[in-house]
Amino acid sequence: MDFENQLFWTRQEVYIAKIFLPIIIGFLLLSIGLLTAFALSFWWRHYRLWHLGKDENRFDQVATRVKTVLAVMFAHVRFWKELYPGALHFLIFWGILFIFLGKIVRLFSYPVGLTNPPQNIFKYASFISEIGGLLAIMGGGMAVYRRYIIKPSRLETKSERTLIFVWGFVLLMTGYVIKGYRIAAVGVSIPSNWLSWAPVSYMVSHLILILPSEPLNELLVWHRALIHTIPAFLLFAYVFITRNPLQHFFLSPINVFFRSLKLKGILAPIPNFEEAETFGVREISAYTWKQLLDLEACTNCGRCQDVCPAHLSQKPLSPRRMTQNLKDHLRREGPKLLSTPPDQRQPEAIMEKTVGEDELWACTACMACEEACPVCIEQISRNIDLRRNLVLVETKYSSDIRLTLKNLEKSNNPWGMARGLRTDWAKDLGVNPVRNSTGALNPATEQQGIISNGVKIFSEVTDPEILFWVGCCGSFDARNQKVATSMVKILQASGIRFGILGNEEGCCGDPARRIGNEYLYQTTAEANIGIMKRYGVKKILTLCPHCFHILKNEYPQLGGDFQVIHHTEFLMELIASGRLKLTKPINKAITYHDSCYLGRANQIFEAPRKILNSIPGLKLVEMERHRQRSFCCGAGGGRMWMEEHIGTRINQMRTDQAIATEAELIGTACPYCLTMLFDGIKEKGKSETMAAYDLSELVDQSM
Amino acid sequence: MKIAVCIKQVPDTEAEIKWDTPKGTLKRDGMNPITNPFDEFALEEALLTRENYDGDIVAITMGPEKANDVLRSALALTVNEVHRCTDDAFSGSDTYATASVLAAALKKIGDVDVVFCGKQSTDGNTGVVAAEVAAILGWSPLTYVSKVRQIDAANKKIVVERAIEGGIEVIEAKLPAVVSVIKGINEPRLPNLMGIKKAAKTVIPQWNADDLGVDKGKVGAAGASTKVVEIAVPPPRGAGEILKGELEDIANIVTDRLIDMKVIK
Repeated sequence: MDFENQLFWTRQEVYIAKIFLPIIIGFLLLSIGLLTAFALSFWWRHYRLWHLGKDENRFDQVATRVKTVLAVMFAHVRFWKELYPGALHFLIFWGILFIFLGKIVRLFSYPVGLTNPPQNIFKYASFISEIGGLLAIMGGGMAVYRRYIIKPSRLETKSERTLIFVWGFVLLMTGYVIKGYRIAAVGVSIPSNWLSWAPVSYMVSHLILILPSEPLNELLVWHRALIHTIPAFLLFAYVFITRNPLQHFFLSPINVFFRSLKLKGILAPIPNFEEAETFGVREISAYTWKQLLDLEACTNCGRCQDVCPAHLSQKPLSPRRMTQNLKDHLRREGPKLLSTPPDQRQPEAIMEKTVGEDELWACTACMACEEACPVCIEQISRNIDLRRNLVLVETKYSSDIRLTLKNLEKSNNPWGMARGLRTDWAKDLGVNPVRNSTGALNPATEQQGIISNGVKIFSEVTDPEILFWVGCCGSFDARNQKVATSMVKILQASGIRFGILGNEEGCCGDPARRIGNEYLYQTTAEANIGIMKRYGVKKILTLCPHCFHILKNEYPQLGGDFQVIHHTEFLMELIASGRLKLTKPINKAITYHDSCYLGRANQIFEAPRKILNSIPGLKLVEMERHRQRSFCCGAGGGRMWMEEHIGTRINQMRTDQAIATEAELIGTACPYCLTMLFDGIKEKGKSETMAAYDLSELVDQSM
Repeated sequence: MKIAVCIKQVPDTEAEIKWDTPKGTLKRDGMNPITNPFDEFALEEALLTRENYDGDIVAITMGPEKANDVLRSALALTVNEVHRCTDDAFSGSDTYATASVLAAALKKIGDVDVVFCGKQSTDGNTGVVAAEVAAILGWSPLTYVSKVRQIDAANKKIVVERAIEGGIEVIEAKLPAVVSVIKGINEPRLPNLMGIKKAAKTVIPQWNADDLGVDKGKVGAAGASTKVVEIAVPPPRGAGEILKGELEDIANIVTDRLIDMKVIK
């Protein structure tokens, strides 16, 4: 390096030590002070909003929670379901993380190392931040391409986001430019071998023109940092002061930390049911603080919308839209509520203005949204809470819902059919209820005696192994009665000692609970629990995933602890143990429809597939949306009992997906799904070439 | 204004129906008891009247202990007062006996301006009790009402529309009046959970024959002026026969059959 430049830099070092350094330190302290203030204000404002909500304990099992956060943040485990968006976010995240790491270390180098030869750690930091910058630019470029050129339907781009992109790129570029400038001005000898430790900046340095005038160079050198640090400082301030998408940096990991550790689809009971004056959620502060946090953690990514069967079938429901609308509602109403004393508050209702009725009732509670959400937002319970208020307090619902609830209340099944008819399906299988619904001995049975090889009432079975919970569909619906019959034949062939509750069996309570009538659900469930405890029931076999889910996962909330098994798990065990031999081939191609409450809710994917693979001749073809990404048949969330007036029929969409596999059979494990797909095949005019069967029927055929 | 409603508990006839043919009655055990659907319209009409004109609603029923449920449903919908008329002597009452008990209850309540009833009950289906109550009390009988146009309590006037075959009859009558309503006059509202819970805790007051000043000899099976002689389930319709072929041949076959059956000559 020539003498002039050396002098230049020596003078600069004097300036740095006496004038520039104190200014820098002052500026750093001030910035840190200001940013800390902004950050605290940010947290305080958000905490106050969340604190409007009710209590909820999400502080259990901290180790598991921390593990999830680390996995989601650093390995991006919830992002890889879609490769391109996952990759670009991974790059941006790691890029920014590296930059931060490098920069923070580098910040320390100003007071420490400028007057000394820089230590190795600063070189490593420099390298890391350079690589980080590259990753961020790559990821950012992919993001810009996707958002502005491909323009997928689920992305909403407001001008604020474009501003953030521009700002971000400016920061990345100026970062390289200032370093490149320094390299260009100084040459490679000070501070050290930049080529190895600042590859990008080194390349940039070749593009920078050094002005001949020395004072001007000096000015530029002193102020070079400002073109980078001031925008950086402003960006940090912006993140904390305004509401903007970048706040997900903090809110999303926190939301992941506080996620539900239970299986999906488990609803919480209404706390303090006896003393409560109101039920469900009418206004925003009736939600729990976690549900309010959910609203703010939403990054508006739209993954939920892309998988929602209601949205895809043109219903007015989009989970993303609902979350965003509720978030706006919270941010509008929250400050109003906070500035009024609690007894004078007049909070605005959520329904109608923020969430529409058709929108709310369109949800099938299929949990695809919860599965897709990278930040673990819980949409289902939030919807059901709104329904609870409509049903229990406002009594506002359509006439088909009203009829279903009335039927459940009167006759303990959604069809309103007489209780005495519940065992009719098994008449020819030998069921002769010993007692009628009032407990008197059935005179017909007294005369004929009990047919020992048929279906017996549980209390009349000697040393029963299992209670066969038939469910309302298996008992009353013609198509599903055949499934119950197949199951009985399988049980008999395997020599299992089983019984049914007969006319004492009541609806498991799933339709009532998902519709929002928590009161009816509780009464029904408590009655069922009482009956089963009275008969000493320990193990229950269910045909229906909804019965399975509620009996296994939700009855314990009311004191009903039983060992519950779904018929696919049961059949798999029978086949695996050799108790059931499948010999007759079914030489057809079959596609299996994963039911929401078997798959996504209870993670049972393998058992049904093992059953199908055990049937000789069956060839399994998977639909595109299968396993966790399975597409709802449309009957969940109480929608089996509601008319579908808007858009395309969800069951037809799923049937189309099955038809696309060119399979001749659709295998199901749920009476709702079976009904929906059976109808779908008919509606699509494919009854000649396709048929829908429950797995137990196929096993029965193959026995 | 004082508004009364007469409600009856009936078995749910949408479920299975079993007959005790020798006794000539329904086998009510094992059947779900519900509020007579037509009375739900009456109750809703009372609630609407109270909303429009201010006042109090009293709901009454005649029935055994189980009938408390219909009064609880009424309480859950926010009626102000309920009473159950019950006495062993009332058992086996026919329509006139029932009407005289209800009339006595209405007299005991006192100052009633209008009484709403359903046009008939879904078990007996006779549809006469409302008119009989009016006759006994000497109040205006307004049956098959499809709309209440106006109630003027001060001037003791009521204007209603009655659904008759081929049109609507508009009637102005004097209060007090007994109004029986038809299906579809309104859309019955549903009780919310708070209402249900409050009603569940309420003790339902009872009136027996002495409280009502009713002559025990004139009610119940003893005082019945009508008696069910026979109940029969009509024989199931046989499957029809579908005739195929040329129109003229079919016409000939039909004519021959009708002649054979002696329907035509």
